[in-house]
Amino acid sequence: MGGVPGGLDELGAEGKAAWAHAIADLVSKEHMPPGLHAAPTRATGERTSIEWAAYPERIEACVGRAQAHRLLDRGARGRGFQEEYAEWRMVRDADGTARRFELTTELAAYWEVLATHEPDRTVDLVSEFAGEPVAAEQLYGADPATMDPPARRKAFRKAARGPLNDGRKAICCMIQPTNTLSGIVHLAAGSARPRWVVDAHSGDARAMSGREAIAAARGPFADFAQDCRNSDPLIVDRLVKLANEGRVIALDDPVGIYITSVARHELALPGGDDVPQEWFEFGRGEARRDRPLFQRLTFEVPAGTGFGLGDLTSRRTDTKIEHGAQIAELVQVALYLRTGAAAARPPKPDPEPRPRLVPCSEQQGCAEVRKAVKA
Amino acid sequence: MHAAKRTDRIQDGVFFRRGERPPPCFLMVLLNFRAGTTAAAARAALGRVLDVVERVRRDGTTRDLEGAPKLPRDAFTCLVGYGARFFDAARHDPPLTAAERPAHLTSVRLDRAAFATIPWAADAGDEVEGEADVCLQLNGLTESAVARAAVEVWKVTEDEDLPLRIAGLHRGFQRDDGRSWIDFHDGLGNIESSHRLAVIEAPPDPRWMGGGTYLAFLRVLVDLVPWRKLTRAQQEVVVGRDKLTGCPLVRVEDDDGKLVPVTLRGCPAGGGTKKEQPPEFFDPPQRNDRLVEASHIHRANQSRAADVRAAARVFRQGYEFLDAIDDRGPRLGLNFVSFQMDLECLKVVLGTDGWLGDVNFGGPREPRRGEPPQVELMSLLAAGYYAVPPRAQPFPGAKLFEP
Repeated sequence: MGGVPGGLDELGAEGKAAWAHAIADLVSKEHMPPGLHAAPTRATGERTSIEWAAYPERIEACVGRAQAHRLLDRGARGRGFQEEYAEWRMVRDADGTARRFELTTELAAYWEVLATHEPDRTVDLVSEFAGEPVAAEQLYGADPATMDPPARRKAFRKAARGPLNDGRKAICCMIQPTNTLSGIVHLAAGSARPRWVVDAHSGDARAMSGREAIAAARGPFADFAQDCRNSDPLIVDRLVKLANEGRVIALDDPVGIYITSVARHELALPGGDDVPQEWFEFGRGEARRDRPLFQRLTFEVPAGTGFGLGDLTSRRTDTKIEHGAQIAELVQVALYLRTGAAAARPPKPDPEPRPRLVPCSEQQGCAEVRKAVKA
Repeated sequence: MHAAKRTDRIQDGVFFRRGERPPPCFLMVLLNFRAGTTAAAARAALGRVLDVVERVRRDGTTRDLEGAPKLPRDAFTCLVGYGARFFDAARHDPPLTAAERPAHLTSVRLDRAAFATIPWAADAGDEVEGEADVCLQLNGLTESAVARAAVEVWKVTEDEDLPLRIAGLHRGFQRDDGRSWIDFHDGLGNIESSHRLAVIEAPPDPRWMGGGTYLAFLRVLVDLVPWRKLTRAQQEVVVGRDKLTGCPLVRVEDDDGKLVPVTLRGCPAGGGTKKEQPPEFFDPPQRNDRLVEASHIHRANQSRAADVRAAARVFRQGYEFLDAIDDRGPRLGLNFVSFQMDLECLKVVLGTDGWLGDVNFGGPREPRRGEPPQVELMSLLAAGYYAVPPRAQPFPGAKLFEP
């Protein structure tokens, strides 16, 4: 339990222990259902993945596509709405021309451990992502060698809200309030429970859908997931079905959100050809035999081609690339789980009242999005 | 054919309601407006065409047989959709509409391959067949019912010199054995009726599409020659089901280099009828088996959730065709028709690696010894995307023509 996200080899013994402790501590505070484990066990031999697009679908449902794209690219404010466990920035030239797209799924909790225990590595990484040397003092406010671990952690937390992570100079890890390790664990804990409803058409008991389970949420899990996202309803849906089958479920190790693919064929060069694969750089992880563990994606038109990102066309919508959201919708990310075999005696269906589903464009949460658009 | 009690605004011709089954005959009629047609003239022309079709449907009245005994009523449905071409001001001067084109309602790519791994057929034309300003999808109990309606459309456009012309016709039929040309059961994994509306109903972005749906039409040529060279086991690995029973594979064993597909235990249940099968028969869960996960049915339905947009589910309503049989073999295939809340759903399925974006139909992308090789089973003869607005008076989408 507690493998380093992405399979990265950058933490020393203390850092690894701290990361494992961070996960254990978080899990200990959670209401974990009996069939859910924070790490694989002998009973969870099968691996399964849940994949979704990194594009914040709910925001589009609330305010429409054009407004959503503008909002999502609006610096730190836009980051607050990048809620699909993936966050990006669009690097633009002084004249506003889009030059590079960077997307991360890295967990802030991990970066805090990294910054606490490996300050030199942290400074190097941030410098790399900023494309310019960054002094340790810019991140830590002082020489990290003179600081104790709690002070380094505190200093990094503050820096992570600033230009070196909010997109102005760099993007290192996720900062949207629910794109967190605790958010993922809470989501899994709230989902991995047997849930049934009586089907309105057939009259038979069936598994609650993800949206229904979110709408029916009560008690300590009232806010465990956000309806109308790409991610949450999908994750809930799968976990409910697995729980209904009586399967033991575990978060895969190393826990994290991983970038699985980009639909590059959906991007066309000015002459109409596909964008070359080499223009996409996957990083902060490794390609394992059975699954990719990448947590960072950079997409850039090489210098000397005579054009930029804005000259590319999205075939999906037949429009020029203006916003990062148009690329984010081509990126698939995944949460990996491990499961056991279906139980010989699965839980007996105990249907709950079927909740009313509110259309995504009419949900309460849209008020905040509309307010942000107007601001 | 008779619609159940309606709580939705989806046009007739999408057979998604409980108990509904698509009738066996299909005819896609494509219409283009003449260059220079004004929005008002286009609206009047389309309205006239739809009036004529409705008279045939409702009263059995045909243009040249006024006074004759009526033809059978209610024998077909007519659904109207608007293609990307309709919204293209570069093609229409003056523009036909001031309405916003839905974001994912695009032209189908003509150069090289329409999709990452589905090329155009060798004899496909220089223009995208299947695209038009407007499509009329006719579904009927008999071929004559849908054909008669199409001919009545031609008559009225000729007789009244309407500013539109028929740009294409694509016919199809449903097999009565529930199988496709590759001989496997088709449509087993389609969506439960209680979730179908959530899968197909468009959100109100743009507003005029709220309560409507989107139609994707792909006329897919299926090459049976390479397909029939695969062993039965290889075919089952490509599809993900047993060829005879339709039972889903749970794993594929290797018996000294020979593939041995293993199906769900106890399948088929009972006498083998659909009603007797467990949910896993229709919607098999993910398996920790490289070959099973690479099969068509798992690639096409990665996420399995029904009412979530990210699951990219589409509701299929396909019709087979057979055009000819000559020295090269049969020229046959599938009119793939799907309805979805947004065309992005189908584009995700066909464009994403691990889904159908990195293989032509199914099976492992990099097969090992004994595993099915990647064969180019499918190529495209025609394709088009259409916005299908909700039911409205005087006809769906009539407001699109307003200034």
